[in-house]
Amino acid sequence: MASVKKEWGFVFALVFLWSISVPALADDSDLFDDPLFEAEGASQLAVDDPISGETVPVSPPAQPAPQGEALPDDLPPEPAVDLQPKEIPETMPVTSEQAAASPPAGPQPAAETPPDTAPLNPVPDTPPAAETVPSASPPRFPDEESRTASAEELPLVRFLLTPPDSVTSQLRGEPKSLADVLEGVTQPPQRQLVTERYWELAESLANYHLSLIHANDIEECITRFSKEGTLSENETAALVSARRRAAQQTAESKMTLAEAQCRLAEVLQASSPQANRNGLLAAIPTDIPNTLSYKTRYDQIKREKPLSPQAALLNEAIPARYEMMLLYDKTVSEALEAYRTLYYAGGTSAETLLSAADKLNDSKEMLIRCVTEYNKLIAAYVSETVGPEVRGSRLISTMIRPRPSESIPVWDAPEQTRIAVSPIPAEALPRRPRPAAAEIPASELDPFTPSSAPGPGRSLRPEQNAEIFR
Amino acid sequence: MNRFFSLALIACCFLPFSARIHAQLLEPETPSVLPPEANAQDGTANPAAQQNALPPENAKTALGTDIPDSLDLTPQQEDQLRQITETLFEVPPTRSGGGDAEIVEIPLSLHEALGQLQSGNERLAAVEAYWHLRSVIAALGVETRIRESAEKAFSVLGQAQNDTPDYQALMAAYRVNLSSADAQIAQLRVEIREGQIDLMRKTRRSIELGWPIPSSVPWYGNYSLQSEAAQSRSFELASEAILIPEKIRACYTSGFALGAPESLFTPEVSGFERIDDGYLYLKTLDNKRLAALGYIRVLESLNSSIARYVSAYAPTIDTRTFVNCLIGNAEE
Repeated sequence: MASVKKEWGFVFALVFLWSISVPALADDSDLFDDPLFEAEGASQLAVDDPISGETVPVSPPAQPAPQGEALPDDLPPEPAVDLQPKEIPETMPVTSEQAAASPPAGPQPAAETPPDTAPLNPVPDTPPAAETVPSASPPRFPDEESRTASAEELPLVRFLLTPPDSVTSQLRGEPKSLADVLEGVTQPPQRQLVTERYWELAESLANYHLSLIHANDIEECITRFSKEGTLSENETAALVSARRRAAQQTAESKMTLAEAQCRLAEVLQASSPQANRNGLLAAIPTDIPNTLSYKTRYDQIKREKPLSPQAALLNEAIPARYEMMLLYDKTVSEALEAYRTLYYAGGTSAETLLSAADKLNDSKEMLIRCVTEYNKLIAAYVSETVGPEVRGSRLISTMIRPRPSESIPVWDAPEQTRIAVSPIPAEALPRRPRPAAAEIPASELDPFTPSSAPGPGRSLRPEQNAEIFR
Repeated sequence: MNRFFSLALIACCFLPFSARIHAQLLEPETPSVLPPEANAQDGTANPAAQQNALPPENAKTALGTDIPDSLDLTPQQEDQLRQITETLFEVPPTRSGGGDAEIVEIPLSLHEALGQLQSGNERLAAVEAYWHLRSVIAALGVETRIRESAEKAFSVLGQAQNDTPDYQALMAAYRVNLSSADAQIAQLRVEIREGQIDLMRKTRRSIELGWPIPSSVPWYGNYSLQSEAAQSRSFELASEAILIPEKIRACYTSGFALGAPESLFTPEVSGFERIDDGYLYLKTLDNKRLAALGYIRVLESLNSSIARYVSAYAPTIDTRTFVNCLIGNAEE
């Protein structure tokens, strides 16, 4: 009898061990180990939520919201979070759409209220009330609802706008945030113009990074087909033409980036000629555009002050553009999936894989363009609704998620993923010093002219001379 | 029996428990706060990415020539770029006018276009309109010649009388390609007419003189800038002085990426026989078309920057000197 009791006791102990061990089986952390997927910039670390048992993205450490001065009376619009919980399949990597929809760690937040019944809370600088933000740690931002930036934003956008050092080291300019470029710009129309140029610069940086990734994808295609066997004449011609086209795209996108830098410097110069803008002649954007659902709070603001018809139009246009952005993001996810499937499938033809790579590249470009347009609409709406007295981080928080202040421990390392951009094609990224100015005498009347020699030798040489400026 | 049952139960229960311990040893329970790449030491990176891409020398060979390290070209490089540029910017045959109502088309050099303008701003606007029209006409040439290449290659295939689904699909893809080219060509013709009207307005030319067809070749080589002290005179000078070398590099990369001048509009293959190769042929043609259009865009941008630079540096110089500063005096 005693031995039977012992055995049953042993059985119950084992059953207890079983019950606490089963959740360990649902480990989905390998979802993001697919390097090609990570190369496309949509990966995140994921761990198991011990409470819900679901896979959740990594959360950077939360920081308390920055303290600020008392709020102005007007109600600036605030970025808000819009979650749509969605089950993440176990066998597919989490795409950016799914990552944005994945549930966060910790207790679930309160249900999202519709825009027209949103509470009439002005955007606080202090941490929000406990009933709206039940989170284990102090939130970083006024509208923080225990979720992190990585779970809400489109990861691809952040990835494309945080190129590795090997890329940024080749670029002219210094890192500048939106707050940096708006410093000293007080009037809303000028602020809108500067902000638009800043987002255009960010778009051109993203496109440049994208062109390098695409060039690398083409090189991977070439490597793969070279190893598979003998390439036909037509296949070789197609692959070479694709490589050339990618090199041309990279060159053009780098040129466009330089132009965007100058355009931003130009509007800064025009908006504040007295300020010393020499340091901003070439900026490398560091802020990520808004890819959240933007709460305009149009009805509330209109109760406080009159708004122009333009503001009403923007109130309609902004959500529509957000929906379009989500659709483009979905297109990118599907194009990425199609490309991955073809890449790893046997027997894929060169033409099919090249077309899939082009489609993926085109879909990303369209997403980036849509994100830029979305943020321009937000800048226009802020220009209509936010007065010149709102400045600094307060102003920035009405457009994008503000960066934490330096005194608070932050996870400010960019959310870079492993990038399959190695090596960067030599033709796409020439590593050569800038040429020195031609040795022309310092007098302002010194002639300079393209070479007048016919045929070859049209390049300028300092020793050649022509008579001008007489 | 009970013992066997107990042992089996122990084995079944221990397996997940050991898995959990194993998992904990490999990965920490708490989420990492480091960026993902700091943890990425497990070698699960994309194997294709880990493999070396074609070495630079092979890539350069594929491109046909070396990308110059400096902004000065060797005579061989300059000759290749000259041939590519002159082929792309070949002046199309102009209509001399056959009827009373038909307006003639007149080749117009940059110097002639600016003849009546003295003001710096007017002249700059006219130059930009000139280069834009020049680029649109060059783009029309590219679209037309690429279309002709596709038509020629597929005309042979069309005679094969092959009714298999694969053949039908390829021919459908070819027809889509043709329709797209036709639409692009029609669009460009409209843009050319608009560009001509814009150029005539900005150069104060009368329509009685004929539709202008720009004939000057844009500048495509190195361009020496003034000293930095001179460039700092104005913001426009300083910014263009930064942009011009960038655009020259983009011009070189874009231009040399087009390959040999004789194969600008046709793939480096004689044709195709298999259905799969037909798709590849269309893909190759499309890549060539896009690369050529990209080079045209870069060249237009470079020449507009040069015009802005010269205008900012010396807004009051005479027209002849101004044109020499833009494209030299090779046309004289």
